[in-house]
Amino acid sequence: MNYEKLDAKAILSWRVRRTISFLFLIVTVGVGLLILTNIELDSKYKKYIYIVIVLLLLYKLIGIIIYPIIEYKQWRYAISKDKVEIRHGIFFITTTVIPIIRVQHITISKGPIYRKMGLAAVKIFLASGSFEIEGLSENNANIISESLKSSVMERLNMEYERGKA
Amino acid sequence: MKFGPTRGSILLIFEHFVKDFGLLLLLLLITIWKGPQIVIANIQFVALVFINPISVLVKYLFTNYGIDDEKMIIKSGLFVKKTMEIPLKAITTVDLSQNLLFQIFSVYKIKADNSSQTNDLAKQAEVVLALKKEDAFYVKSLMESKGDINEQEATKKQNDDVLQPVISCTASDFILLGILQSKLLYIITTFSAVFAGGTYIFSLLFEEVDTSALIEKIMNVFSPAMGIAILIVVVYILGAVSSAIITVFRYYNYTVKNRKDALIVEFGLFTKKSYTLKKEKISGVTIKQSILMRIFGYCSVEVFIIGYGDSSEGNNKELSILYPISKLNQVNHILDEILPDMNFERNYNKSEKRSLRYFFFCFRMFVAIGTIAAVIIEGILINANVYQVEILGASFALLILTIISVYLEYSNSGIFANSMVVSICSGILAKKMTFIKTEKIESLSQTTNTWKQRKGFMNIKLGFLAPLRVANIKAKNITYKQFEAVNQVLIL
Repeated sequence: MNYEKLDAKAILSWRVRRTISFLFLIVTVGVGLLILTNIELDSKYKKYIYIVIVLLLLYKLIGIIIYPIIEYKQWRYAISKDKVEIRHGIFFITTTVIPIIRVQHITISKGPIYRKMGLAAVKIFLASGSFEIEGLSENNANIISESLKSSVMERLNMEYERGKA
Repeated sequence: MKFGPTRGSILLIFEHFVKDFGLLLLLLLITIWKGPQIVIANIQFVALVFINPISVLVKYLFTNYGIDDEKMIIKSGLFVKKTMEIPLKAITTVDLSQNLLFQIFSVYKIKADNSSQTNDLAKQAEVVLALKKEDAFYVKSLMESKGDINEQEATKKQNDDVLQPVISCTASDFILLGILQSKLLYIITTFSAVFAGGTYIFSLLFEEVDTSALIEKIMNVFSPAMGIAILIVVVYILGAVSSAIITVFRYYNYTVKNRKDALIVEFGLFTKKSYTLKKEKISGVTIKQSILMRIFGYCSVEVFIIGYGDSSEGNNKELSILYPISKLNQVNHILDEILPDMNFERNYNKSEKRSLRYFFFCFRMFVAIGTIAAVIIEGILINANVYQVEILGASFALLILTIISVYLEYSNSGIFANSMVVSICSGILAKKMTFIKTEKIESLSQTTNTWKQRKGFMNIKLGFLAPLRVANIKAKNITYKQFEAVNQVLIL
């Protein structure tokens, strides 16, 4: 199968999204530290809490700087006549095979960050859950969505004809 | 239109009488008891009492149901009118039920579920209406025939009452199920509490003490922590007993009849229920064995189909039971008979020996090792605790139990796939064997890391058409060959 890669702008979009959530985390941690300094707690436990906070912030920073690059390298998708394959992950790589005949509906979503960067995500819904191909260029997302829709219709018509026969 | 449009019987609004009309009834009682002045003085709160009754009444008055050759048409809404069409072909289960009130007036509640109802958002696609007996059975036959005239005629001719049950269970079966399904830990704690408490009370009975002295003695014996522990055990026992009683009443006279195209599940004492499970819509079954069931060779069987077992009333979740309790060696015979298009052989390809090490990479193992590390660091570097040895001993005991649990998980794991079914066996103390029809599988995911991938191992997840809470099953640390076996049979 020929795997396709995501749009390169996906890296930046992930970074922006994670930076925003990082800023929210900083504010929450700041408020938490303010409360912590004003309550009486054994300095030993305070030390533990500081260590946990520093580790958490470091992890989040790595998530902004390094993880998007690895994630982008791992992200692949392939759409054939009868199935969709999605491969993604950082340390644990997940490969999902979805038979097109099982697709219930498809949505294209664009959040404010994606809109600004001309990106979109295609979400494939099944009865048992949903799967997403993110970080696609708008044009690509439309092409994928249309091709999936036509494949689904083609298969459904075939099933119908077979049923009639 | 072959049926309707109709609102159905007005009794439907009294279905949840206590919930919808309880406050109104209470208000009426207060008015009779204390006089109308108190109601007038608190008129702003009284208005709230009418919200539920009015909303159920409005919902009833402004919802109409009709059925034509191909679909069910539901028109609803007071201000915003909504029309929903559900193709009869999409209906998975048709369920008839009667609570006491419905039984008095010979009215049946019909609930039809369809394949779009796999999540809560789609709950609005649920069909619920109450009809007189003749209408209810006519609507049921229309729904089951899926608009096919020949099938409709055949359905009409079928008389489910003359079918002999292939599975029937008594109250004692459900009590046995309740006992055998209980968690071992709970049973041990219950037995030990009952035994310890019994011994203590027994010893007290042979001493001549007055009541106040007895209470004082008990108060002196139990520390607050012990008192809480005993309270928890008592609450658990009461909970278990009440749950067993509810289960017995709910599943009273449980039978499964085997029709050519469907399974008819009937049960209930106060609320009688009848489910028609279309065989072609059944996605799979799972054979469950708790630790006690494994010891005594019993199992219970649940079925995966949208609309059966995914409803809950209050805290009492309805289970998707097909065979409440049976001997494991007899279950294959009955399953082969009622679901002939599936294969229930248990020829699992067990996990390879090389995969054992990967089973140890799990959350509970990290917790066990982390606990020991934390206790050691705390003791050596920071502060020597008085109970250091005891805590360390408990941590090592936790580690040993975790290692045993990991080994059991490894030995229970297995998978097999053929053109009819994909089956996964899993569990630690309890064991679960899940059989999914290959044609109902919607997605296949494999997850691995570089290290495991090099050795050819991975975890897989199967998504299939079923109520969302059970729509995904996992198999851990299987080989690439086993994964390919599943991938090969996937219907594309």
